Amino acid sequence: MAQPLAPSADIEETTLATARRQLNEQYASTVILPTYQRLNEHAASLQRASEEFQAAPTDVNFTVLQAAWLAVSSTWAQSEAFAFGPVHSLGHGSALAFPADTSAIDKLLTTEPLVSAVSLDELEAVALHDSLGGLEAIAYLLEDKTASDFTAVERLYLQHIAAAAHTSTTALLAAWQEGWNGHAPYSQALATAGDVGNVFYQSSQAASEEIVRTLFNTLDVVTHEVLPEQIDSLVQGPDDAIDPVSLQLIASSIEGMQHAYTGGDTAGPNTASLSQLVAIADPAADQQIVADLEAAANQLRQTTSKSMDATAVTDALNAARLSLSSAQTQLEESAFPLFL
Amino acid sequence: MLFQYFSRSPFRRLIRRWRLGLTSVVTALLPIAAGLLFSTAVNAQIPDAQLIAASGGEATAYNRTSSAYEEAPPNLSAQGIADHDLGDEAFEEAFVLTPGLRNSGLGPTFNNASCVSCHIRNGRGMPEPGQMLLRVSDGSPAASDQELDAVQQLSNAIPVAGLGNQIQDFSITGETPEASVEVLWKESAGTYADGTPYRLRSPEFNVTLANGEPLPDTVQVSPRVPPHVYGLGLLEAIPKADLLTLADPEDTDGDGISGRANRVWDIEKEEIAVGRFGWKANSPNLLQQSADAYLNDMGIHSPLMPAADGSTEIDEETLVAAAAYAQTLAVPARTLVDNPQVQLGEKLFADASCTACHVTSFQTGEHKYPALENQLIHPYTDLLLHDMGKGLADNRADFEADGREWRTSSLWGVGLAQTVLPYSGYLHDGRARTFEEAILWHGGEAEVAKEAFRTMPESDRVALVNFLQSL
Repeated sequence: MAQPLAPSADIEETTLATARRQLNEQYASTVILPTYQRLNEHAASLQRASEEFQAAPTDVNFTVLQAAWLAVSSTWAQSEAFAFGPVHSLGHGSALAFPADTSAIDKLLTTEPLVSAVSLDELEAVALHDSLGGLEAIAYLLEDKTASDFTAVERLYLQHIAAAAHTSTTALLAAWQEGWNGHAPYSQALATAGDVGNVFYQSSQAASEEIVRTLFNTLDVVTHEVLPEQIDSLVQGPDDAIDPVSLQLIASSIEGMQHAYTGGDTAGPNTASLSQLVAIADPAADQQIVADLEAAANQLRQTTSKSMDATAVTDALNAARLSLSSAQTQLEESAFPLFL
Repeated sequence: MLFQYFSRSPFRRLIRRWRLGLTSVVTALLPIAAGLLFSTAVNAQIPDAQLIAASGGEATAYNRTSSAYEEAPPNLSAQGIADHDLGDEAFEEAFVLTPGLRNSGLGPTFNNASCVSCHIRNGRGMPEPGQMLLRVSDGSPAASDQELDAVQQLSNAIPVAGLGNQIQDFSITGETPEASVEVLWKESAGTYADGTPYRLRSPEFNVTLANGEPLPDTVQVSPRVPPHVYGLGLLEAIPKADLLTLADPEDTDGDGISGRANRVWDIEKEEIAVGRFGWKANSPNLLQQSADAYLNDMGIHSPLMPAADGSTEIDEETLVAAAAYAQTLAVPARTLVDNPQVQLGEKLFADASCTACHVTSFQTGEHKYPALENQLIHPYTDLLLHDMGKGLADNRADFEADGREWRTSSLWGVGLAQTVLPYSGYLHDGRARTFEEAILWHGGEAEVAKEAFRTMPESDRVALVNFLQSL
């Protein structure tokens, strides 16, 4: 394993400082904003699909609605590689991804005032806790159903919470792009890290550390919890235990990590990125991280694009886990020292 | 068809992992994986400035990012880490309507459905509906006619009929929330001694009860935002005698500071104890604080606070685990301690007598977790009650705390408040948007310190705020 160089030894601190500052300046525009823009576009599509399904509950419209949900959820999974800032404090993470209270949703749909509701206006007046809306609640309403299974109230409720999800993604994007409640766009919090008056990041190192730690934490969860859980369900579950939706979401999560590391899907040679920063200190480690993430992404792509049996999917997930574990180790050893 | 798999639990478990607070799942692993490498390596070569930065002694986490409040102490034992992990799960569990597949028992009325929903990333909450809550007491002349048990009498907070001591503004399906709460902000203007203007804001509340009536004027209302959760185990480990030594209820030394300990009821020991936790120090320890939050915030009964018929929705193990999580959250290290502006600000902070209440250092004593014992810590609190003046008064008693008294808030890690939760507010109701506003709201025993700040040259005010930002 390549040994990282100590920043104070062979590498000029000014070179690293410049790279950190460039990363902070560009990260929002290259990685975060494009993802949140896609998230918002997909959420708008989800809202439109729910409206069309409400108006015409056909099989075609139901399929469009399902696909729209998957597109939003996949983009949300991508965004976890940089889930810091307003997504938490302004409650958008909770609004979009709070664990669904399925018992409460079932009861809600059979209880006044919803059970006799005929318009969205009637639903607007009902204060809903986050456990009754968001992507997981929508998934619960869509699961194991065909278009004809839906009652008018269920369709209306779907429309209501899909609209709420779109409101959240719009507000989240606006917080990063335009600002919130008189505050500057949150993208500036990263770009101006260390400047006088920046209350979010007191140093350039802290903002860069934010970027690498959030990626590291996501890598850790997927490597040590999400993938093992999927593997367990395949090993212990029935023969048809393959869950394409979960595999798609894991694939999206890894894709989000790749964007977070390399600077987004439109990154060019002049794009400042975490990869570029690590490469200054340890080019071999950088190449290894890029290769590991790509290998894991390929392994997941195979599971979602090919017709594989449970054994083959398990093997692919195990291989992906090893690749991600290697990337995590490299990141820890090569990137963390850059912030000391 | 992808969606034929929706009914399987792995999908829901998977998406649940992307919920709010995901990263806290890994905080216990960081000290093992990264933190040991990170923190131990730092400790091995730390210069004096870095020692100053170790706010929690060896229980300090070296992380200045949005996950800074989610770290376990790097010196925690294997058993401690196991407890922390278990507690992390308890802290994240969302309660649901009965009968759910798991975690049934929410409500019937509640403020939120999980610990982490309010204590987002273990930081302070926002002054917004859904996070801010209202404690209430019946202040009507007839209230004293109520039959109260001994603890209720001791609490000096007479429950309001139909509301109890906290307004719960959500309910499970089929039930009605106790009230709806609208927050309105009132602004006022002031000037520094150098003529620089500033504006302050304070909240007012429109409370509409379930029957459509407004809240009676006789109800005493105390707004509270969720406090931060990190470092609490270290505060629990400060010897009681050291706190009482600082108390000066009669201001015998004549310095204008007359802190006193709140005396509260320890349910487990069935005795009066020194209060340490909560905005008015109305809980003696983190186990009771956790049980109180389960009951009042989520409607969840625990063995420490069971329902009238003795039933509970969580067991002893879960309650202990949740408390253990709060006990085993590290304190973030300071930053920029060798910056001259920060150093000047620290001196000005002391010169302005801020440290009379925001006491800089303690040596911890015994604790359930040895990692928290015998640590030199810098919490910037005395855990005592102080008269904070009319401007901050809620006019509601809480055990021995009167309507003008608040417990000195700890300041360690406060410089990361906006990093962890951008736009979160300061003070008990989140009214202060900046450190400057928080200081300018001080009154009562802190009036002299506030005035010292208000009359400083701008450059000194900036330096003092830079010091707070470094914490």
